[in-house]
Amino acid sequence: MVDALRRIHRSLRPEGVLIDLHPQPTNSAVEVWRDGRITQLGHIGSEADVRDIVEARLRLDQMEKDGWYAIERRRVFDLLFHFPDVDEWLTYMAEEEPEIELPEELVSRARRRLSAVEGELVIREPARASGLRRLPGTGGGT
Amino acid sequence: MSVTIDPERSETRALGEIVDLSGADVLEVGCGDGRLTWRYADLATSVLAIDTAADEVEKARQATPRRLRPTITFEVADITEAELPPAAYDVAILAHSL
Repeated sequence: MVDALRRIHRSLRPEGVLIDLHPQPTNSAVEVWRDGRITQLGHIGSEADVRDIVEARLRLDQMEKDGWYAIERRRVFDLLFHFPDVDEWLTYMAEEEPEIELPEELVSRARRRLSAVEGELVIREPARASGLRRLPGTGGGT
Repeated sequence: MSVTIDPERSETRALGEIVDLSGADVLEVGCGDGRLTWRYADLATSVLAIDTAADEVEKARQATPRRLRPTITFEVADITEAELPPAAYDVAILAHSL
């Protein structure tokens, strides 16, 4: 990852900006949306993912301490994933997030909530956007 | 598989609050299927969007709106190995790929 950040540093113009978009190191909320109402069913996530995010942040912080980049702006936001039904959500999770174990009780609750009425299943993933200005850096050129 | 990601455009809004992409030459690392790329590319002068997943990059190429095709280049590449020109980009976006 440090190698990637150094390569990006080299490819940026002197006043260039690095944007890091990344989930927050927390679990995502599972919600059912129907008739304009949001019902929270629980949370999902994996300890390994949280650990990876924390480690990635530490490496980015270290690049900043070493003078490669300087943080300028940060925004936090929720990235929402909308699914028309539970089966589509399960298919997505199996393909994209196979390391996350979904509690059976949570899946059952989602099925019950969505069985009777039209609605959506929504995953709410807290995320952070960081803008870092390129600095000359340690041996980083201009 | 049917999923709609960020129809609220929260991510695009956060991006716009952090950096002005007008006229910028942009490098995007971890572009996936191009979902985010298409949302800001209208503003940029050029976008090189890379990802290591060949199937995702192919999806991105196929589904890119015609008006954005002159602006965006999608490539299968690993940032730790790619031959990128020095001092060529105004903005680099690491999209969920740190």
